[in-house]
Amino acid sequence: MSDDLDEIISEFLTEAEESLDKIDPLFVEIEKKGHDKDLLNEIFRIMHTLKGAAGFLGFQQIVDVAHSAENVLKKLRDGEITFTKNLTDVILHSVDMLRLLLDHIKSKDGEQEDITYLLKDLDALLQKDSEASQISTQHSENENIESSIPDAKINETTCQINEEKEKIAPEKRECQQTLRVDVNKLDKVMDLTGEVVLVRNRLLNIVNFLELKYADDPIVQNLFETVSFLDLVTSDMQIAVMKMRMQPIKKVFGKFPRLVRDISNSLGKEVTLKVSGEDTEVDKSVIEHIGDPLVHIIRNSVDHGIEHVDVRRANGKDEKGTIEISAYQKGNQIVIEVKDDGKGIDLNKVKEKAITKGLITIEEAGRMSDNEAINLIFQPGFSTVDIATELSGRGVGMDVVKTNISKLNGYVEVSTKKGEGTCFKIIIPLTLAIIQVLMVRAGKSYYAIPLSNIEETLKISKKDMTSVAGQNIVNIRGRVLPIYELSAITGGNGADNEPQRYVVVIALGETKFCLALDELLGQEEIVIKNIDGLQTDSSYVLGATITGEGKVVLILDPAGISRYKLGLINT
Amino acid sequence: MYNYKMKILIVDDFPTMRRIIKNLFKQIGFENIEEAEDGAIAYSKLKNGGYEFICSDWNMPNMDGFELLKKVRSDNDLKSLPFLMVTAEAEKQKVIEAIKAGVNNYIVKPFTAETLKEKLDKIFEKLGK
Repeated sequence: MSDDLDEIISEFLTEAEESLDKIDPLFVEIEKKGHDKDLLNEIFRIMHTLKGAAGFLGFQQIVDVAHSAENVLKKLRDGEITFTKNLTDVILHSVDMLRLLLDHIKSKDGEQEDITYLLKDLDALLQKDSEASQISTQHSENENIESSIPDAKINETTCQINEEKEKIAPEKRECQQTLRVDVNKLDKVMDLTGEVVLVRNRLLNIVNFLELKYADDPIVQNLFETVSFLDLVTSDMQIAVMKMRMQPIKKVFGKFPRLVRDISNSLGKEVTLKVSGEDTEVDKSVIEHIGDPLVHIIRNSVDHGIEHVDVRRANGKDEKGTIEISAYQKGNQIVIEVKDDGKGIDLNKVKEKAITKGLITIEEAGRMSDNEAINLIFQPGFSTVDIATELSGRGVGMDVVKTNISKLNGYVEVSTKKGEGTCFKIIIPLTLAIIQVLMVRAGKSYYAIPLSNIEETLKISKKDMTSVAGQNIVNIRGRVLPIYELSAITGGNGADNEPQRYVVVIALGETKFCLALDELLGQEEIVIKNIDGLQTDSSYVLGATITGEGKVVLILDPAGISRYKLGLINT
Repeated sequence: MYNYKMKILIVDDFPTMRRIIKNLFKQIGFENIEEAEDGAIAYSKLKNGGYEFICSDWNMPNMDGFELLKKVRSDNDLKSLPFLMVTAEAEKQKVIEAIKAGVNNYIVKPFTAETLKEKLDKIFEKLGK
C-alpha cells in the first residue's frame, strides 16, 4: 500500500476538498428552507464519508472533527435537535477547520490545529436536548453480534423491493465514467495540439501554393485532399482538447451562498442570492482566475450596493436585497453577470471622488459621459466609501478586478441606475489558447489582433483624420473616435507614407478606439504562445504566434493598449 | 482456502475509499476487483454476471448498501452471493437489520488487511460448511 499511499492521499485531498465545497451552499440552502431531510442527509453523508476515509489514512484530527460534526448532523436530521444560527456557525466553522487540516496534510508542514474548542462547541450542541447517548464502538459488542450471523440464509420477509425507489434510481444517477488526469499532462496535450495547429496552418499555405502552380497534377490533388482532411480533423481535435479543459462554473459559484451569508450577517443586511447557469462550462484557467474578481464584486454589491433594511423600507423597496449571479454562453464568449437591486452607483459622487483623488480634473469630469464616469471605479486607488470597512473599500479591488479579467482576455461592463441597482457584466472568451485574429502590418512589422476585440475595419484617407487638443480623431459615419498609429504604440519603424490608411476599430465593451495601420492581411486561427519573461499585464502584447509562413508574430492585447493609452491621457 | 481469482465488486460512493479497499484486497492477494459508485450501479453490474463477492459500503446516495443487499438477496441469480457490509460504527440495531436481511458479515471502518482477511476467512469458512 505504501507505494500508492502518496497517490491515495493526494486523491483523498482533492476529493475531500470537493466534498467540503458542496457543504457550504447546501447549508445556506437549508438555512433558508428550514429543516430539509434530504439536504441534511447529503451533508451528513459527506461528513460520514470523509471520516471513513480519513480513518483509513490515519488523519485522526479530521476523524475527530468529522465525527463530532456528524453526530450533530445526525441529531439534526432525525429532528432531535433544532436549527439555530449558532449551530450553523459551528458546523460551518467545522468545515473551515477540516479545510485547514487538509491544507496541513497537503503542504506536509506537520502542523497541528487546536481542535479542542471546536469539539467542545460541537458537543455542546449535542448536550442541549439529548441524553448524550454516544455511539460506542466496543469490540466485544461486535463479536457478540457477529456470532449471531446465521449461515447465509435468505430472509424471505426482506425480499420486497421498494418499487418506487427502483424507478427513481436509474433516472437520478448519471453513469459518468471519469478519469482523473494530472493537469500538467492535460496542458501538455493542449500545447502539442497548438503545435499541430501551427503545422497545419503552414501545410495549408504550402498546399495552396502547390495547387495554384500544379493544378493538373493528380498527386498534388491528392495532397490537397489529404491536407483538407487533416485540416478538418485538427479543428475537431482542437475542440475536443478544449472541452477536456472545460469545467462547470459551479465550482466557483458554489462558494458564493456562504460568502453572501457571512458578509450580509456581519453587516446586518438581508440579502437573497439567486444563482443561475451554474452548469455553464468554462476553461480551467477561467475557473482558477475568475473567483477572486467575482468575490470582490459580490462583496462590493453587498457592502456598497444593497442598502440597510430600514433604508430599503423607507424607499419602498423589498426589505430583503437581491443579488443575482448568472453565467451563460453567448457565441464564443462566456458572460457572467452580478446584478444587485441596491442603491446603484452615484456617478456624481464617483466624479467628486476621482477629482479629490487627483485622478481627473474638474474639466474632464464635466466632459465625461456616464459610461466613462462608471469606469473610474476601475482606476487604481479609487474608493467611494470614506471609512474602510473590513470587507471592501480599501481602495484596492476594482482595479485588480479589471486587471484579473483582462488577463483572461475579458472585460467588464457596468451598468447602474440610481436607486434601482447595479449590474456587473464580465465577458470572457470561451477558450484562451486558440483564437481568431486579424493579421495586420504596421511599417515593416506584422501583428495579430484578436478578432473578438475588433468591431470593424475600414479604409480612410489621411484627410479624414483631424487633431483636436493634441488628440487625433477620426469621424466614422458620424461617430468620433480617437485614433492612434499602431507603429507609434509599438515603437516600430514609421508607417508607410501613403495617402490611404487602414483603420481597425477596437471595441472593449463600451470603450472604443481606432488603430491606424498599413495593411490588412487577413483572418487566421492562431495559437497563443507565451513569451518567457514578458509581463503581459504591463504591456500591450498578449503573446506570440507562428504564422502559416513560419513567421513569428506578436499578438496585440487591445485591453493593454487601452490601459497604455489611458495612461497617456492621464499624465 | 479461497480462489484469489474470484471477481470482487467494491461498492462505495467515495473514490478514495474504493481505492483504499481495493488496495487492501490486493494486499491479501486478490486480483480481479471491480468498482461501483452506488447500489444502483452495483446492481446493474452484478446483473451482468461473473461476480463472486460483494463488499459494499452502507451509506451511499441513490441506493444504499442495505437496499442493495435486499435487492441482491431477492434476486434469483444473485441471492447466494457472499456480501460483506462496510459500516462506520457498529450500530447494533443497524447491523442486526443487515443480518436479518442476509448479510454474510460486516466490517467496521477503518480496518486493516488482516481484519479484512479474518472476515473473509469467517465468511468462506461458513459457506464451506
